[in-house]
Amino acid sequence: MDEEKEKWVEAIFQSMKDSRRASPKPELLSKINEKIHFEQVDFVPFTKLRYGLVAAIFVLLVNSIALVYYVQNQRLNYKERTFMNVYNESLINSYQIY
Amino acid sequence: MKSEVEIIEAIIDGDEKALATLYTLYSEKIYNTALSYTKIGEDAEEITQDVFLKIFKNVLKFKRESSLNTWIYRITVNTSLNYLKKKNRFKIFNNRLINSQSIDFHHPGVLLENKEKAAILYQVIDCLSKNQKTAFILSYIEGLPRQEVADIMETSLKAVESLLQRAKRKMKSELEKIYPDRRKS
Repeated sequence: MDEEKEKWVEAIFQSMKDSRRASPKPELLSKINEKIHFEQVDFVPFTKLRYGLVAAIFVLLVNSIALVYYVQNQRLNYKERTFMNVYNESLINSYQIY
Repeated sequence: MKSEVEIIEAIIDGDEKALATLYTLYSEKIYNTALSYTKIGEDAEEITQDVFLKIFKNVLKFKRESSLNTWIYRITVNTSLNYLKKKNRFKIFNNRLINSQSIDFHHPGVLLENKEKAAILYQVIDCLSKNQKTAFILSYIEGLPRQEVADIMETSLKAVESLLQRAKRKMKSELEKIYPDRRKS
């Protein structure tokens, strides 16, 4: 009984042996060709990609420098403004009408 | 007959005939593998289309470290697994439909005397994990040598053998549950 079961299980495992491969529908190749043309898949050569990468890094660098300058400028402005505020205040405080 | 390298170079040059040659050589392998995962002809065709598009788009990335056959099988396995993952997201909504389709799957290329047994095999294959299923499909359905299966899965030969052992053990226990029913009928 157990031997019979073992045989059956093994036969199940081997059931795809010597089977033919299933084929897709014949029109599939033309569908694939259509899709390739539709999507206009084109190869981007590595040299082009390299130029793009260099340009992107350059833009990023310029933007980073601009940001650093902007932040520094903002800080300076703030310092100047607070100094002027204190200066003006003291002037007003020391102003006396005779 | 063009060599692998010649076919690849011709595809890079945009030669449509080369793509047709590649299709003749690989479409059945791709379709058959995808069919083992999905068990639905239309889905397997969609995967086959996707695989050829990926080949066409990524042909420049093919490093020739592995054979073209290994590379294409790897794309097929990954595309099939991703397809199933996407499909399973909607499983809650159409659970019934998927189950009924998978139980009744009959592989069109199977020998007549093995038809019933192969249907049972496809029924229990779903109990396997992703990696076990891949190892089993490539070894037992595609009939690839273990080393090539290891190359496709980017793992060691030992790992593939262990995956197959575990897969067979799991499937065997599932089959033993079905066996008494079969005896009654």
